[in-house]
Amino acid sequence: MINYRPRIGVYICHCGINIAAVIDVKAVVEHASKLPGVVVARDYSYMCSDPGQGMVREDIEKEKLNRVVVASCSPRMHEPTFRNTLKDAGLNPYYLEMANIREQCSWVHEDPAIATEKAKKLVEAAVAKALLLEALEEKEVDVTPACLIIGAGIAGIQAALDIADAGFKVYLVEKNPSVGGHMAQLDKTFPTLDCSACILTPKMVDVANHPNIELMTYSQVESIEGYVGNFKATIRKKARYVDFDKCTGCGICAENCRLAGRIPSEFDEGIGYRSAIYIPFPQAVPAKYTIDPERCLQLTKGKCGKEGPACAAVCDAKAINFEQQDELVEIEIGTIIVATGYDIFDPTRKPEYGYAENPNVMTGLEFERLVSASGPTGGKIIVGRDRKGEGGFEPKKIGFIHCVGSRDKSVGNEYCSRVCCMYLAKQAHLIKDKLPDAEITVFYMDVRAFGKGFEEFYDRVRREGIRYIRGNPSEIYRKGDDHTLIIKVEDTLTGTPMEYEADLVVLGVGLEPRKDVREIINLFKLSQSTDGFFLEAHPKLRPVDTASDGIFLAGCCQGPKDIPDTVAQAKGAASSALIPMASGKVKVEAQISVVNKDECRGCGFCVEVCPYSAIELVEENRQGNIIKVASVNEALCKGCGSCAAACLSGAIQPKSFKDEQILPQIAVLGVKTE
Amino acid sequence: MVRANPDFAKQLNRIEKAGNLNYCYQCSACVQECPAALRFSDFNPREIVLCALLGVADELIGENSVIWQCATCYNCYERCPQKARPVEVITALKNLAFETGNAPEQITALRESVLNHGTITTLSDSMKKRRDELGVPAISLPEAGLLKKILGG
Repeated sequence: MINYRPRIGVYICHCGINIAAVIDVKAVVEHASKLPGVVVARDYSYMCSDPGQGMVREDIEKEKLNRVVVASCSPRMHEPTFRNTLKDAGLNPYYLEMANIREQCSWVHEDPAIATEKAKKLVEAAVAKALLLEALEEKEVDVTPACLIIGAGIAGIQAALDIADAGFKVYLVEKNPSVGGHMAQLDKTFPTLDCSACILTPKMVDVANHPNIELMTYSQVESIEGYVGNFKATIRKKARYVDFDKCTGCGICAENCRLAGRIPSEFDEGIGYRSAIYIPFPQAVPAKYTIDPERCLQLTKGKCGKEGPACAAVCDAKAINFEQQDELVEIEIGTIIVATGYDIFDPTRKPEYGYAENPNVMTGLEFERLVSASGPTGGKIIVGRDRKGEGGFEPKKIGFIHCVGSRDKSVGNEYCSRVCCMYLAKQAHLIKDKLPDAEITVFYMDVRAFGKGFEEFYDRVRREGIRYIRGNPSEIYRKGDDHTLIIKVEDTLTGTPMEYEADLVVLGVGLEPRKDVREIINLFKLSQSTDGFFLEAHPKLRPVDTASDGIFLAGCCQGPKDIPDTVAQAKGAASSALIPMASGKVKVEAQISVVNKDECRGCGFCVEVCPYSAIELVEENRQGNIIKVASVNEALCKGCGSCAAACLSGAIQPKSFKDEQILPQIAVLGVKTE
Repeated sequence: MVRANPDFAKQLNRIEKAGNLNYCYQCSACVQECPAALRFSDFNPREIVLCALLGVADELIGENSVIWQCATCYNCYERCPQKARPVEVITALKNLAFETGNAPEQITALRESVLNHGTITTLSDSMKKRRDELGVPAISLPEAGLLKKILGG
């Protein structure tokens, strides 16, 4: 098996006291130095440091090492570091084997004697495998200079603009008829009170006009295949039933729609109404109308009034087309940014707050639409209006409730949503601004004013006369027949149970993963963290990367965050996506699976279990017999080893993890392998 | 000045589900739905959890403690957003009070009655007669001393 003279160097890391406090490092060095093939064994306080790596490089040169074993932390942490060390010293980087004596030994064992023995065994096993390592070749593939961005809220918009400005093509896909996302719904933004629309709409217009951006609104990603640098995506452009090029956005169709003012507007969170043919809001981009296929009479019933659809009759541009079909578009891209955003918490899941029964109990997002100048009341604070916009009253006593659906294990959301403290403070300020005599009380448990300018803003609203009561209301209910609500709460600072009257209650609803999060996960093979949001590759050092190369995250799909943090992350994702596109080449995994065609029976089990769709069965001519054998796509394979575990004949095995390499390693650990 | 005793809370961990009190963030969701808190101004489940957590618990497990006012209705258990479970903390405190001999006399008497007769009240002849008249099946009491044996009393 071994057809060379092994010269192995073994390096035991102290990791400060992480390893050395539990494991007798010197004893492990002593043990390693006697193992077959080992010519040098040393220890050092931090092997990953420059002097630590220098030691390895020097030994490779002086001692003519041809294999290196580093016993330190998890290979997830520093395998790439030490591979580079080997490469720098002129050795093939795959001649490295790591023994994990930190996470799998010193961190989990308390008894130093036992831990030291285990560390010796782990090092011995690593040496046994190192003897059998083979040199592997790292390949590069070309990168298609284009990026697909899913979701055109502020995160997707910012990432798209940055990549497009850098000179690369962007496909920006948005499932709604307009770009803008949740930010377009907001009135003012905390803590600076910038008008949300004023700072967002110029960017919305920019993405529509940028020569490098192809904007695909009312569209969804249907399928994705390929790998970093070479993805293929199919996009479904849903039928708008309006000719995109002919529509001038004049709006006369919506005015004449038979359902005008009857359909709750999604953009206005159901407190305003729209037609069946609509644009979500006046500044929508593109300013093109869309027919709602679930509400339009012509599309659902095949008939609209006696004279036929009014929208078509009044449209001078002849843009209405009920025969329009969905369109499938195929695109090729090198990188992908997922910026699919969030949903707000549905307060009917906390029935004690009476949201379902009382129209004057509303979510924070509904309140944004109520207070917005572009909202259904034109920014006047009037609650309880009917569908025609009549009736209603101006609230005098307003209550704001913190942490609705956040920090609440009973609804399964343990996390803090990070924006509610400040948006409620901002909304309280907006009411005070418009209704100076209103009595405003905020019910809180903690006020988390952690961002730049947040604490100052919290101070400001309290100076304005807004009262903060420390207590989580247990129940909100209607008193009598009028609209007066009772908030039951204990002021925890004085220990006094109280009942507050209010005629408007705003619930500080938290942020949740999108309801259709599963579809996106299946499409892009993403992982979720325990809170349900998408999991980044490393919580600190790779916050915009995912486990899949070439796919990045931006904005609230990765976790709740405010606008500045979202923009910062979008810029980070854009810059990460630009790296492979700018270099034009990307390295693909070298430790991939290989098929021994003579052993392969063509059963296809490996094809079924491969999570990366990297294996297919191909036909081969064996002396006139056509047989099927497995074939691995080298760019798609990540070397996970699922195929090797499934293979009945042992024909498919990942490089560096072949049976003949890992069985001797396991044997050292005292496990019988036959 | 009262001395805090952070180790006190560890004693509560022996009771299943009572060990979550560290999660409590003093929101008071438990207080307003508490029938005992409505009736008795000195009873406050939030404060009981806080005192248990701080170990300022001499009064809680002493004689005439407020903990015996708890109706064990589990409203606080339902409402608590942090699963800190005030009612289980109170139950754990009651057990501690028993161990130190500080349980109120009438509660101790109930305990004896359950151990000895299997009921919290003695079954009088008139009650038996009334059950018979109403067609309610007769109560069969456990063998004397059996419960005591099972409960290790």
